Amino acid sequence: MISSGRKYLTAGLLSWQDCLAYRANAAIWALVDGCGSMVMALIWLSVFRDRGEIGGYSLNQMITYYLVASAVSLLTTPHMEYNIIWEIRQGLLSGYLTRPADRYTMHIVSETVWQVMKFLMFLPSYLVVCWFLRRYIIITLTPLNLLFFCSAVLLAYLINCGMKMLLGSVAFWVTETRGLFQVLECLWGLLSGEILPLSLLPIWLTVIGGFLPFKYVVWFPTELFLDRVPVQEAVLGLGLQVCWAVVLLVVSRLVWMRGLAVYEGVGG
Amino acid sequence: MKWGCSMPTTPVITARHLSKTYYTFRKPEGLRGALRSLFYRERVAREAVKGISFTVAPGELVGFLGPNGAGKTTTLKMLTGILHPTAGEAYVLGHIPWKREKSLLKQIALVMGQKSQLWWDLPAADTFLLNKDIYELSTSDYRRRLKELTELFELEDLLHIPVRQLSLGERMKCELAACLLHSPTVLFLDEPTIGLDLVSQRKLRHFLKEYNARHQLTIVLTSHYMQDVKELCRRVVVINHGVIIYDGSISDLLAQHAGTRLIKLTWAEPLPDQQVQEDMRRSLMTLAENSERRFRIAEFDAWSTVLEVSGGATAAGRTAAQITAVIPVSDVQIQEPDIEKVMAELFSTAPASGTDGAGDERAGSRL
Repeated sequence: MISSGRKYLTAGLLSWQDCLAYRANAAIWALVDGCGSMVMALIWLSVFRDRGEIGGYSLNQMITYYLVASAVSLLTTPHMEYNIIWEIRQGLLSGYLTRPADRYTMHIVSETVWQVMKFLMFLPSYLVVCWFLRRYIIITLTPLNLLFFCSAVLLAYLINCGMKMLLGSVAFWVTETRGLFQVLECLWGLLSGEILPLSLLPIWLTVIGGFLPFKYVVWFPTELFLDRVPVQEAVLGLGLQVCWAVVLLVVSRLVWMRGLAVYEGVGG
Repeated sequence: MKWGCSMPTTPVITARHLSKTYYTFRKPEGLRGALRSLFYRERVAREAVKGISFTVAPGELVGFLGPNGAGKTTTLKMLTGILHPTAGEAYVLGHIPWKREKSLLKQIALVMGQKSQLWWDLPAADTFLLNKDIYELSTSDYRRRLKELTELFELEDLLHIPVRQLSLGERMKCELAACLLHSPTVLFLDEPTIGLDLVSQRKLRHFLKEYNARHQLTIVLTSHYMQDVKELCRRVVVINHGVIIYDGSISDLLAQHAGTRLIKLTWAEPLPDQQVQEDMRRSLMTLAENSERRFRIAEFDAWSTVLEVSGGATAAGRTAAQITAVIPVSDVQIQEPDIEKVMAELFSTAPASGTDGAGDERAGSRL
């Protein structure tokens, strides 16, 4: 069991080293991933100039929301779907299928290692922005909140892994999937709360979003951090996160297995 | 002539009526075709492998030969579990390969000439370490294997250079070593020498031969370089249009499909003038008429002659003996027919069974 887990960890660490081979590129990706929400925080500073509250958020809450949301989004958004389609389209998956290691698990572990590294690289610039905006930041975390928040971040990551593995697996059937990725990224940005807190969206959109997993990946953990969710709702939310994570991981695993049966391993 | 069927040992690989059909979409040419294909696409089935059967015995070195698109790589992909077949069954070391059981995967290895399995931006040594964990090798086993392979493949100076900076020949040596670290029982090689220069090809073949002599593993190789198969494999499976058109030894293949051998005779003394040359030519022709095997003079000059004789090596030997008993010569060479030529003839002939692309099944689908 230990040796079985070790191969995935080694693969993960190797992908870390692989990313470090192009250090400048890795740093740029880390910055790009996080800077969107920080820009939004600056925009809200000017929007709030002569208003006390927007969508139920004070200026301080709004700024804190974006700073937390950007960190949560960076930490919980893997991008393995691009690697998956590349491997399927180029037939590179073939090499992994003949070795006694599960490529599905390897994708998740490698991406997890990369997430940690990306976050560490993002941290210095993030802390600089936080320092500039320090007078707007409100932290009212209780130990229970912190526990809820950390659990929610972990579950958000698992939900995203399920979604991205599912998305990548589509390439087993559809050769060109980048269009689909773009559509889903737009939906993700809008319904996850990364672009706007969900209370600012039209009601019909939040109703639709309620049936989808997106709001549990950024909005829910961020609201927990801001202490805007009553304990009962927080527990219910965490339960729903577990359900979404299990459903998406199981479905993506099944789709992956079905995909392997139709995989053609193109090219010599 | 199904070689493996009569082997007394349990086959390492068994394939029975293995078939694979790929489905693609046909797009008519031009803008009009592109617009039409937005609403209606013609689905085309292409049978890459058509019900092939064969067995491979332990320790055998089998070469799959065939032109591009013949179905040899598809067969290899089914045997290594990458592809699920459309029909038929296969067993490798008693396992169904496409179930990808760990116990099977730990005993096989695949090297692909056109796809690197090494991490591109990292030195090969890092991939070796990953393989150590993937195949769950102990540190002492790993070190021992690494030392052996480093010496055999002369990798000492290559292990710590990023793979992208290695030459193709160097990379292939590393690929091979990475796949052999876990001491597989069966090694599959898909076009291992493709793109390599002649010296690197020869070196790689030498390493493979050397390794096989030491470890006696079963090797299944695909190639369209005749030299690979000729030098490495005693048995060859020729596949074309998805069907096996020959399965047996290379020498038998040459005997069956090459109608002629060449006998080169060098005269004991150069023939001084036209008259002597004409007399010699006449004597040869008389011998040819009386010989049990007919032969023909392909080349003739003052120093030597080349005769074309029908039949195998024995017939050519007998004919040469018959001639040299009468005509004094300083040297006799019996040349095998060119394998490349034999293959080209074999590939251009229609397959023994099955059909080619003309039999493809087509169906339209609205999307």
